[in-house]
Amino acid sequence: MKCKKRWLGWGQNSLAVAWVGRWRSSLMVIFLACGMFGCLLSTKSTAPIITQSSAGATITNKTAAATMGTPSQSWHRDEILTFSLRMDPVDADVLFKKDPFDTSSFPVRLEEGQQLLPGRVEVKGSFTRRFPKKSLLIKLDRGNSWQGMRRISLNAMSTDPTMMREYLAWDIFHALGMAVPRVQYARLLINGDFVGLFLFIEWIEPQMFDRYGLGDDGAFFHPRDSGFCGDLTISSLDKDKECWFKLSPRDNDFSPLSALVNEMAATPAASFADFVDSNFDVDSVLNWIAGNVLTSDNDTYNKNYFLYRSTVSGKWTVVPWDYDLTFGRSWDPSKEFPANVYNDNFQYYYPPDVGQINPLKDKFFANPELYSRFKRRLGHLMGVGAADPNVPAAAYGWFSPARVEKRLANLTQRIGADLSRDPFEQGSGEEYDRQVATLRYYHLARYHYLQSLIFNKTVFKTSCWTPAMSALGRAEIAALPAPIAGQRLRVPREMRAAAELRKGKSEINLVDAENGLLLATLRLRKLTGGTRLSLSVLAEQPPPVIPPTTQVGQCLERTWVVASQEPGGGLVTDLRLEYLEEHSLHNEFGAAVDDEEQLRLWMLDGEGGWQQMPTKVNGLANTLSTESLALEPLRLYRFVACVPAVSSSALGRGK
Amino acid sequence: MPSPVAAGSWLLSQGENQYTSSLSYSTSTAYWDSSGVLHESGQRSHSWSVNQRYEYGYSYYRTLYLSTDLIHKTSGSGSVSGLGDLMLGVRGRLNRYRNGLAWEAGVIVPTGYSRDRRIRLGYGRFGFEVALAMRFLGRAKSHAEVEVKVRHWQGPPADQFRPSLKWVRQLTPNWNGWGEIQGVFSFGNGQLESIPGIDYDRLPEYDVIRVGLGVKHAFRRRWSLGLGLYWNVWGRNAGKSVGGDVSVSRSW
Repeated sequence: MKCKKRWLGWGQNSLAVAWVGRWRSSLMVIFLACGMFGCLLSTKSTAPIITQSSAGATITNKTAAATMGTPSQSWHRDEILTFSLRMDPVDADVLFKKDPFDTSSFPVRLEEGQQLLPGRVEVKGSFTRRFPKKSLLIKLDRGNSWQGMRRISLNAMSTDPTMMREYLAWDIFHALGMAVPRVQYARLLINGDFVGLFLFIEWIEPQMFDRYGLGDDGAFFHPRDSGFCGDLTISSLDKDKECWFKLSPRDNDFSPLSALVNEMAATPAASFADFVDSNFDVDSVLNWIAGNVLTSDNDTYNKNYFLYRSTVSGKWTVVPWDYDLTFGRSWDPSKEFPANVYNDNFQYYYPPDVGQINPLKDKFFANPELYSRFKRRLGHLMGVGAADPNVPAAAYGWFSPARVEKRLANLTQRIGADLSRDPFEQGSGEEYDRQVATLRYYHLARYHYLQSLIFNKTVFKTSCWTPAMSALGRAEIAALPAPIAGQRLRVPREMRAAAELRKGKSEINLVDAENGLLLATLRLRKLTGGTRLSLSVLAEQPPPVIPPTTQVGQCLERTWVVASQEPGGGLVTDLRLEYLEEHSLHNEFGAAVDDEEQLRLWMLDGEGGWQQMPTKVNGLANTLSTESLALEPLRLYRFVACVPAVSSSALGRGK
Repeated sequence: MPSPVAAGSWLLSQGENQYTSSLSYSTSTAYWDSSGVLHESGQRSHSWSVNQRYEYGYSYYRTLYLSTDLIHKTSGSGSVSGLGDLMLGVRGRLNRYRNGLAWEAGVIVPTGYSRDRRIRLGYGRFGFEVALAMRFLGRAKSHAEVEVKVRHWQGPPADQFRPSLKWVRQLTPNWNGWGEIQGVFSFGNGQLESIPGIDYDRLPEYDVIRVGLGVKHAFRRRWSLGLGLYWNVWGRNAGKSVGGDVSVSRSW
């Protein structure tokens, strides 16, 4: 957590208004979106026409695709490529088993039809080199190319158990028509043996920008990955820190970057819109930030992006990079590699300015004009509000739950066969299904979170997210005491949500109006009449009431109280409740909760006693589910989650 | 003698280069005779040398190295300066998957200096060496490097067995500290070597045990600066010298 959170009270009426508002807003979206589609189609926009296919979006208009800069040979995002390599078997063996930070390359030949293209192959990446499945870079010898490219980059996706995150992130940027690399799934065969499924990401070099009409002679920079300092602050220009690589032209002239950074530092937030318009391809900035917001990318703004200053447009273009630690992945500050990145933590509630400090981002959000444009761009992707005419119409609603659901289902099906035979056993079985379910939950929760924070007319307070409409200013936030490093963080609070249950609506999401957290989801099985359901959550505090056979250390530090508030509304529902595990210093585990998969829901019926509920735990998404729960009207139901009894010595241990 | 050219257990990545330049100084006022008895020499001898060492990762499996010394020595009223021996070698892997387990083979090429002088820059003979070197990871960000080497010359110098043990500990992310013990032990097959015009024979056969300690500082990612101090603590036919070196290394 970058900043400590502060939480205000809750007003039941405001939530009701919000729901109504959302309902009205949805109608307006449909109306405006329909209107905007017609407008865009009638004006023959030059933006590529991207349509929804079985697995997401594909570029279907080849003329438009060529305009966009698609590589000389047309390609289809849904197609899974196959790269077949021939190499010395010993080299092939060593390539995956050698010292991870050895940068040696090995001779290789790439099969291309009847041809064998000579080149070399090496392991690429930084810390991901330590995973058994390596990301690879194939460099073809001079005079040889594959579909116009001499470099073929294959990402192993080792840090992403779903093997979808990178693809999904690039999918967003492609949908927005950005100048970004070609990205497709690819099978890799070495000497005829299937090595695994990889993600082909076109090597970013000036020729790529040339395809997009930006010329190939621009100044091209990239923050050094291990420096964590390419944040566009003046200190990032310090030569000793070596924050930047200049990728092209290959010289030591950093003056274009210096001029940009210095001018950015001198520009106040109030006039930052003019600065961005004058110096940047503003859509690339908007899309980059919107993509980072949707994916909750905390691993950017000081690294993981490219800057290209086109000599054609005279402006800077941002190219996003590296989206494996996104879509809910949460860094653990108190653990060593690989647990710091490869863990079962989860978050979807980092505010829109998620990511490291960077004046481009920070002044962007502080400028009302740019924030307004961002809000429209994000709304376009989420399918909320009016469409943004500056990006392809087909991207409208890209992040909406319905389209996400369909996209994930199709993607799972498309890559499933290859994942199931992946020799690195990266993606198959129940564990993989759980990972995908977590990804699905992230999308749903993030959608509602962003809608609450950005689009709903509610007062919200988070740690850092303070746009102009927030009642809590930056000065107030700065005055809050900072969490003590290394100590467990607790922010006890009460959250509430309510929903009208009516026939015809089976999926209900209970979202806290102030914090935007998805407290619970319902899948209605039976509803007699209508009712109003309320949920109150005591978060990050030991439950005041627990089952008699348990001790408080066995339980999550969270209590849920559900009430059906109207008479006559008998209800049978599947119930999914979420809890908190951002990382090892911020979670709700009681002292004796060593294995969250052992958690079981307990329900206290107002007229009965405690009863243990059949519980499904998803320790990755941090959810507890119980099915076919019967709730009587005008009754209070209290839920806690506890692990079975343990010895008393374990109670002091904690997770 | 100038510090022996260090072997190494570490193979560079294919295409990687490493260049090290070091300035060494040693001095002594005493020596151990052929029976290992310490005597005052009555004069102070000095030795300066500048060593240049270049390594290149020819492939994942082979690293090539080249090394030479520019030496200045004084002893009493005599002195000599010039290029010392040239060392050319190759290092290979003992374990194809692991770095830090290596064999090494090199040739020693004299560079034309006079071997007839009382003070000289080397043995003035062709020779070769083979070595095994291993690096073992320890606890608390430390590792040990063990190396055994055998040298053979064409001519009078005795063959040598050169073991060493070095312990390296990371002090901070950019600073390492190390301690080392090296030995040079002659096999006893050396022949007396006469020096024409000086009615003098010498036995080019000696033993010495040397200890050292130092620090190494990594900076600007691919640069490092080293500082080491050495003492000869025991010997036979060898000077009781003390010295140190400063080195700068860059890889790319």
